[in-house]
Parts: sequence; structure tokens; C-alpha cells
Amino acid sequence: MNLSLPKALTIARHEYLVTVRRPAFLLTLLLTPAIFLLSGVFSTRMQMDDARTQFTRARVVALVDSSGLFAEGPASFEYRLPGSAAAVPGGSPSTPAVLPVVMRPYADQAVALDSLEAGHVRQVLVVAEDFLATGRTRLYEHDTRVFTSSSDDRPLRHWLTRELLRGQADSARIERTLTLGRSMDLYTQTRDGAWAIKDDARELTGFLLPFAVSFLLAMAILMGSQYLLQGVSEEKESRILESMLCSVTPDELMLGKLLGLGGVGLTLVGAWAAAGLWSSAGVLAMANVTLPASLLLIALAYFVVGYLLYGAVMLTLGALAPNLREATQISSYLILFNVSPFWVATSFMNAPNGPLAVGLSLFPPTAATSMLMRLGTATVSGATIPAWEIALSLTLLTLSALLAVLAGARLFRLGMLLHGKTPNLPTILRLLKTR
Amino acid sequence: MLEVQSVRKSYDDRVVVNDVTFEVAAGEIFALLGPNGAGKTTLIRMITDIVRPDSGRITFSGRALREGDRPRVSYLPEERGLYKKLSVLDALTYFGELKGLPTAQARRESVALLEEFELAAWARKQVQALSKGMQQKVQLCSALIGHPELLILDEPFSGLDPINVQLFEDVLRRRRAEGTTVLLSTHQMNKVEQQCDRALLINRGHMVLYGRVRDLRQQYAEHAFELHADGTPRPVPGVRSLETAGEHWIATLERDAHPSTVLQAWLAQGLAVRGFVPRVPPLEEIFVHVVRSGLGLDRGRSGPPTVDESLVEGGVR
Repeated sequence: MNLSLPKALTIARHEYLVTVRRPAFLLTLLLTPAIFLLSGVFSTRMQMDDARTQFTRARVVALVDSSGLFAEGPASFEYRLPGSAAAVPGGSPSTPAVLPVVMRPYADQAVALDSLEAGHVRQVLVVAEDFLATGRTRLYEHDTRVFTSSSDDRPLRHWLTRELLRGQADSARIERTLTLGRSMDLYTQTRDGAWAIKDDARELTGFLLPFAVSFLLAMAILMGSQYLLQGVSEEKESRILESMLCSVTPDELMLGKLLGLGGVGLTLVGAWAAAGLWSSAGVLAMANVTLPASLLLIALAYFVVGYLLYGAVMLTLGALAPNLREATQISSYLILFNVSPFWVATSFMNAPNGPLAVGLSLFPPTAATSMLMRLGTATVSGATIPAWEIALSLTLLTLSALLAVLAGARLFRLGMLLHGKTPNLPTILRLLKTR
Repeated sequence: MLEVQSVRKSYDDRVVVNDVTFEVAAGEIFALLGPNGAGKTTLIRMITDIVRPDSGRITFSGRALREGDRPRVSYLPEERGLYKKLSVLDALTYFGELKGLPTAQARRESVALLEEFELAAWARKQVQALSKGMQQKVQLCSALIGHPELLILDEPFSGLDPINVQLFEDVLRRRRAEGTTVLLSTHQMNKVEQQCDRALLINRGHMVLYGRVRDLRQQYAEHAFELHADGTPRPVPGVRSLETAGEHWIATLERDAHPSTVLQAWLAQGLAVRGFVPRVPPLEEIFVHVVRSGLGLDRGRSGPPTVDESLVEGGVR
């Protein structure tokens, strides 16, 4: 390669400063997390409000008891929510963790359903005549949920159980029956062989964090390479490049752009990550979750070579395509490689060392995001990613990136001078052979 | 200053530049001429090391262009653009930095150039806010920044009004006086006649004319004279043809006729002669003639060209 580092750095500084000073960059920097944050806050708040209302409003249930087993049951009762007051979504210690339930007997199901239709009751519970033999019950209510049938029937199951056992056992046994399983501690073996209580919350956070790192890595590569594509296409369209090529070599131009716009992508994602960590620091501390330094180092290595691969490809594409529109169309197919591991995230979770996960983490275009997802899921599942796989993955990715940079440098020089239509594969191969 | 020796370039099986040899001396303004598609841009791209020749050699002051030599050469392509969203000053400063100038010096030179081109009031404006002609002047400034030793300009006058053309010509003259060498590619032959010392005409990649502009024009003079007179001249011995050309006449003499004999014959007729001067054809006429007739392509290879061999072999190099 024919280049002077000071000139490449001059180009990098120019590209970086010009891009970060654009209003579009500031909008992306601030608006993207703001949209995520606001939509998250609003939807969570709405769900919490809805749930709180549902839990605290007295529930009137029409009971159609064809079995006659529950005729003596109390007309109303208070369902105590499991755990503390905090079990009520959004609840505080002052929030009552008690749900008042009124059981209103109906002789006829049709009348009960009319009553439900008219809004006099919230649910209709029909106990079949052969309940004792079959256990069959039906619950009717207005359904506003999508893709789920999980109505909160816990108060009714408690009431049915309690009334069935009334007089058959003492109240302590009845209570224990009702809460059976809640106090069962699950011990699992940790990676170092010790038995410890399985902590779902910590595991969830432990998984989400590397997953987020993997997502941010994909975003950083994506943003940086998109800036490259845009920058080169615009320069080619506005015919600036030929004037510049008299002062700098194509290699200097390419390296400068890779450094400067890669820095832009990293700045963007770094700012988002810092804001995310700062806002979730409390949660992470409570869950006692820390990101291993090795994971961060590996993430950094994957970013550098992953960005180099995609950046070189995007630069070349920007130089070869006649305009930004065509360059963007082609680049969208390439970007799919970068994000495709997220489509099969469940396979990674279930089998971080399965053939799909291993294959994708070795295939250079998907290696960066795949390997980080594997490392993240392995942290949770206790699986170990063999060090040789990481080394091989990084080596293959590095070789691909170097190949892309070398081929890109040659195509970049000649592609910038091409105007008209996007060259086809034979033309590209011919350009590669051209001096 | 610049030596191009037997340079050849082909794409696929099409020869774009075929065995072209010429030299540009330090401090001269040299014209690179040719019809569209003749290979001028490819030749310039090879000189600026944007593309590499298949064979031949290009040297600056006796050596190949090295990384450190790049700031010595500046190129303003025909198809050119600027960073539309940058301020005029920032855009120029960046070009100066790419030439290897420290930022502060690049800024100082940018300001000086903007003043020279009467654009100082627009320094802080975005490039896209400028008119096309003004943008054209900024592009010229971008080529001049860093005081290049060799300035390659491809159609630099296009888009400029006559006042700005004159302004630019003055700047070129000043730069030339300071020692800058200029390689000018243009289709405006009158500018070549006014500004350039020597010229190279290429056609279909071949050299077809090369030499001093004055000599080239003289070489194509056809023993013809411009006759300015009151009244209509009548044919006299020694005149092969007599054609009117607006307010004067063009008299083409027989090969062996002496101009003074012809003039005396007209005076003897009582014709009031106001002027009788040798006619040198304009470069444009020579250009059209050479390109249309395919002159210089007949040998199946490029130069030294048929029509100008003596100049190449003589003391021009």
C-alpha cells in the first residue's frame, strides 16, 4: 500500500469532524435512545397502570355451580397476593396487596353471560356437574389480550381449592397446599462446580448484557459502514474525488475514511452504551452483574476487524456504484449478514456450542455478532466456548478483512473514476487485474 | 519539468493512449489538445498517478512521481465538485491540508486566494450558497492552493463569464511569472493562442501535432495573404484564388509567386490597398483539419507525428 499516515489522519480528522457536526448526526445520537427510552417508559407505565387497576379493583364473578359443591362458599373473600406488597405491579409498601373478590351465584349460565355482556360482572365461572370426576370448569370474560390466554385466574383457583377442602383439613394444611412450591428453592451447579440457588433475575441480566454488547457491536459496525458508504457515494457523485486523488493516494483516502467514519460509529454507539450503563447502573449493581474484562477485550477486537471488513466492502461499494441510491440498495443485502445472527438468537440460547452457532461464529461476515452472542449465552448457561474457536474465528475474520482492504484499495482507486452504471462481476474482476 | 516518454495505456483491447512522448518545460504554459475521447483525460490521470501506464515513463524533474512530490502537482479535472455543505474557507483549507500544508498556513493561503479571486466576502458561506460561477472560482482556488509547481487544468474557463475569465488569466500570468508550470487542456483555441507557449494535439490516443503554437500555425500557413482594400480587387498574375472574408479578401498565391509582385500589380490597377499581410491560420482551423483528415494516424502508431517531426527532433525537447 502507498500511504502517508499523517495524510490519512488529516482525512480521518476531517471526516470525523464534518460528520459529527452535522445536525443529522446529533439527531441520530440523541433521538434514537430517546425514542427507545420514551417508548419503553410509556409502554411500561401504561402496562403497570393497567395491571394496578386490575389488581386493586373489586372483582365481581358470576358463579354458575352445576356441581353444587360450592353452594356453601362465602359470597366474598379477599385474595392475598403472593409475596409482599411489591407483588402488585408498581406497588409500594403502602399499596394494598389484597384483591377483593365477590362471588355472585347464578342459576343459569345464559343469565350470567347476559350479566357479563351488560358489564355487571367481570367474569363468569361455570363449574361442570361432573366437576369432582373431571375437574372441568369454564371461565368467561371479555378478552382484550392478543396471542395469550393467560387470564389471571389465581383468585378463583384459590377459592375453588379452599372450598373443596373446607372441613376436610385444617386451615394450616389448606394454606400450605395453596402455597406449595412457592418456597421450593432450586439449586443448580455453577461453572466452578458449587451448588447455588438459581437466580433468574441475575441470569436474565447476565444474558441481556452481553446480548446488548453484541447488539451495540453490530450497530457500531453498521453505523460506521453506512457513514462510509454515504460519504464516498456523495463524493463520487459530486466529483470531488478526482481532484483529491492528485493530492492523496487512494490508499490514504481509504484509510482516512475508515478511521474517521469508524470513529463516528464508535462515538455514536459508545455514547449510547455509556448512557445505557449510566441509567441501568443501579439495576446492574442490585443484580450483582459485572461484564468480564475479557469479554470487553474480545468485543473490541471483533469491532476492529469486523468494522474493517464491512468498512472496506462499503467503501468499495460506494466507489463502484454510480450513486448513493444504488449503493444503498446493494448494501442492504450485505448488512443482512451482520444482523442475521439475531434472527436465530434462540438457537444460540439453547445451544451456544451447536453447529449453527459455531458455523456462524466462524463465517467472517457473521463472526463478530455471532461470537459475542455465544459468549453471552455461554456465560449464563455455564457452557464454555473453546479458546481455539475464538482464535480461529478472529483469524478468519482478520484475513477476510485484510483481503477486503487490499481488494478494496485497488477497486476504490478505479471505481471512483467510473461513472454510469454499476459494474458487473466480470468488470469488477477485470478492474482487480488493472494496474 | 515534466517528461512523458512512450506512454501507452489500453483498456481491454482498446488502446487509449498510444506511445505518447512530450515534455513540458519549467515555467511554460503548455496546451494539451484533442477532440473528445482522444485520450487527454487518461493521459492527465497517468501524469497525476491516478492510473498507471501499461508502458512508458513519466518523470518530474528527471524522476518518477513520489509520495513527497504530490504537493508539487495540482489537478483541476473537467468534472469537478466541492463539499457543498462546508464553508468556502473550510473547503479550501482542507484541500490545503491535503497538499501537506499545516492547518494555519492552509487557512492563510485560502484567505489570500479568496481575496485574489474577489471571493473574500463569501469565505464563511456554505459552498452550496454560491452561484455556479463562484463555485467555479473556488474550484480554481482549490487547485492553486499550496503553490504547486505543476498546475494541470482541464477546461478551467468553462462556466466563467468574460470578466472572470480575464481575472483567471491574470492569476495564471502571475503564477507563471512566479515559476509555475501549467498544463492546460481546453477546447477554447483562442485561449491557447493567447496563453500557451507550446501545444500537443492527440487524436485517438496518437500524437498528431506537437510544438510551439506559433510554429504550428506558421507551418499550416498556405502562402496566403489578407488583403485590406477600398474597392474590389481584380485577378492578377500569380494569384491562385481570391475569396472575400467579411471586410477583407484572402488571396492564395501560386507557389512560385512573390507577394511584392502581386501587390505591385494591384497597385498598378489603381486599387487603394490599406493592408497586405501574410495569413496564419487560427489554431481552431488547424485542429479541425488535422482531426478530420486523420493526419498523423496513417503510420498505424503514434508519434513522432508526420506533420511535426522536425519540431520533435529539433531543439524543442
